Amino acid sequence: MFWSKVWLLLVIVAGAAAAAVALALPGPLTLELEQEAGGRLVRAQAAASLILKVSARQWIDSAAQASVDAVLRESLDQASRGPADLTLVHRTVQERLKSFGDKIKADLVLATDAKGRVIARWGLDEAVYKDSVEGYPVVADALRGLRADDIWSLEGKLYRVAASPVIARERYAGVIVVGQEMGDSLAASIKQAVDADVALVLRGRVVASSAQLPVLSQLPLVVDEKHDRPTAVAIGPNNDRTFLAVSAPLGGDGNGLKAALAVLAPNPAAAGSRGVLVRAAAIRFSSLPTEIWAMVGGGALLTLLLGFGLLRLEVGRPLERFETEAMSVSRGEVQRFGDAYRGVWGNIVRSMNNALDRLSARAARPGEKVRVDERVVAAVGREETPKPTKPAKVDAAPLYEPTTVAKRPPPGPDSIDTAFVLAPIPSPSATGKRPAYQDDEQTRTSSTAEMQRMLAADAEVAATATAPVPVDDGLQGELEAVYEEFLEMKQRLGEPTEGVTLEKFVAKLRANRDQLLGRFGCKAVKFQVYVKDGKAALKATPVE
Amino acid sequence: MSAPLPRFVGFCALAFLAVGPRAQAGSVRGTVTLTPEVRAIFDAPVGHWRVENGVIPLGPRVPDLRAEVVVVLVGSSIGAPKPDASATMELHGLRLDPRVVVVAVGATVLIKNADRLPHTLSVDGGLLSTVTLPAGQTQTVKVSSAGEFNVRDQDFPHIEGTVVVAPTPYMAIADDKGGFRIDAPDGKYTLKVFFRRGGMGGWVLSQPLEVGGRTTEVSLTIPSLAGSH
Repeated sequence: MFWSKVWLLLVIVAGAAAAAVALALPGPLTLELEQEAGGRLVRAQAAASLILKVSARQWIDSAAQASVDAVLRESLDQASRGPADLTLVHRTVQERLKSFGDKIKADLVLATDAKGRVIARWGLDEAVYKDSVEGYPVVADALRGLRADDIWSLEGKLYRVAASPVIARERYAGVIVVGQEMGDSLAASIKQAVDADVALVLRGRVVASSAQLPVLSQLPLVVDEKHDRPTAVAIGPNNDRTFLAVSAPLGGDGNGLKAALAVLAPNPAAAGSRGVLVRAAAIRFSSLPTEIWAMVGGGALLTLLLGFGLLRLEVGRPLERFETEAMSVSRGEVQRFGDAYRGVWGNIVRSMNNALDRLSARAARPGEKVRVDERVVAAVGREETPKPTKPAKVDAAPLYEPTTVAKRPPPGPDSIDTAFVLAPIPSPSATGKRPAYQDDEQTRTSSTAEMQRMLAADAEVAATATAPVPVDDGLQGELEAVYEEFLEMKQRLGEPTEGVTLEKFVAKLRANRDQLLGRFGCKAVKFQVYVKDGKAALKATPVE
Repeated sequence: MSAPLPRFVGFCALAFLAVGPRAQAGSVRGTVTLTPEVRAIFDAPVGHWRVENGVIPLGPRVPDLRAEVVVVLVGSSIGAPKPDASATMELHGLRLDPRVVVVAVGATVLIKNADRLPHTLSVDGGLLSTVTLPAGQTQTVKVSSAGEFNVRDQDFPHIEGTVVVAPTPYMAIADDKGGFRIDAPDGKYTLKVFFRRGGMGGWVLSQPLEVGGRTTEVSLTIPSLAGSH
């Protein structure tokens, strides 16, 4: 499963890198998002100003259209020439202004004579006339023959106005001024075009807006800030919301009135780390070309398939094969597992084959009553394992005592295939001391080797029962099992095993065994593998 | 008829002593010209657009920009006549007329509201804090030091003017055609020109001038509003 581990490691590294990016990016991204949103707002403000400029030209055209009205031309020319009574002219002009104002949906219309004296008004102060408005720059320009627009403040409201000269008999006879209030409806219509909220400020007061936002109260502060060019300024928080705003003066008289057009939008940087990432992803990823998406998607899919393939190759298939072979073994169709396993599976299968070989050897001895160790049942397959018979009475004699083995009755011919007798494991308590190795983990990790050892002992017994063999042959199997267990432990702990040969190992154990037998007068010596200070070690226990 | 001659001689002597020795007087006469570049500054659109009507030629700007140019002679003031003690600026037709007045230190400026609306006015330099001047009322402003002080209308930003308080009694405002005349004793002076509109400009010209008994003709051109002080 080496490659699976490599793959898993790579996935973990990639995940850790992504997590690090996710944690580290919000800071720079916040600044970048603010700049991005600020730049967008600056463009929106410029677009809004352009809309007003185009609209101003339309109002100029409307004023010019009114200025060519024949009745107005004649009336204003008459007023400019100075009739004694302006009342009749006033009424006539006001009627025409009303008709015209309704037509172009203006909020105010006024007409002056050639000196800038108001002849009639409609929409605002309709009863007032004869006063002079020549001082308004837009009126002064129109009196010279220019068509122009401007911003007026009347009764606390903002108006955009346009003026056009009235020409009668080849001379300037007056001026027509049309105006529209810059209110909420205008702000809403601009918002639709620029996709940002719009507000109009007059002398530190918001006079119109596309939405009633709490932060509008702070907007005049933004208008008062002086910048060389339109700049996005953060305002808020207000009700836990912050906004970016860009404002620019409305121009003309609006400059002196501190009148400004502002656009504002929620500040994306105030959305928290997650919000920032989502926003950044929306901005960045949406602009990626399809090829990049295809490469990223393809890479992810390949990685996924590689992972599944490796799992299948290194885990799934060996497990399936092992299951199949285990069932075959349990049914008696084969005697051992195949040799095609590698790695961890190879170790497992070799251990199983060793055990099976010994069991087979034991089974070759007829007439022996045996007890099936439950761990063997679990390893080979429960379905095919017959119920164990009542365990034979365990002799107190040591495992490899030749006399004990020889006294055992031969197994019956009817039970040879289904039951085995395992040699009893001497209890550590028999020595009156608790072994140092006997902690839970040690016990768990040594179960396989222990099973091997028991099977080896059983095979030894079986072999002894079928044919007289030297006592040492049984001991040899026991010591070989210990050797295998010892090697396995060393491999598991990552220790080198090159210098540990079976011959040297068995010779060493025999010498120790003989020494202990002589020293304690015991019947047998049990060798156990355990971990000491992170290294594989052996412990010899005298068995009474 | 006793001793009429001595009495006449005595009278003449007293008269001579009373009038004193008078310097020779001359005058400075000239015209002020604004270059097209300077005029173009003030021909820019107030709002977004300013287009001609396309039917008949444009009329003249009334009043002309030159009527806002102030010329003063700075130098000796020995034997100078006492300047007018006051000047008047009138608000009518939503404009200030004239936009510029020039007075001597210690003079009084009257601001009269002849409009139908009240005006909220202020004069820089602490001469007049913001006051609302009802229609038909007049506000008096006393000037006590030399300088240039803007007059502002809070409700109508286009209404603005300047009170120039000259440090000399030899001063004049050009007419619509740029003409001006200043009577001054013979001597060496510095001729200075003040022109400010829309927050731009100031003392835009300064040149030495010698007055020598006769009329001195000068021709002044304001090339730009840059570098003014």
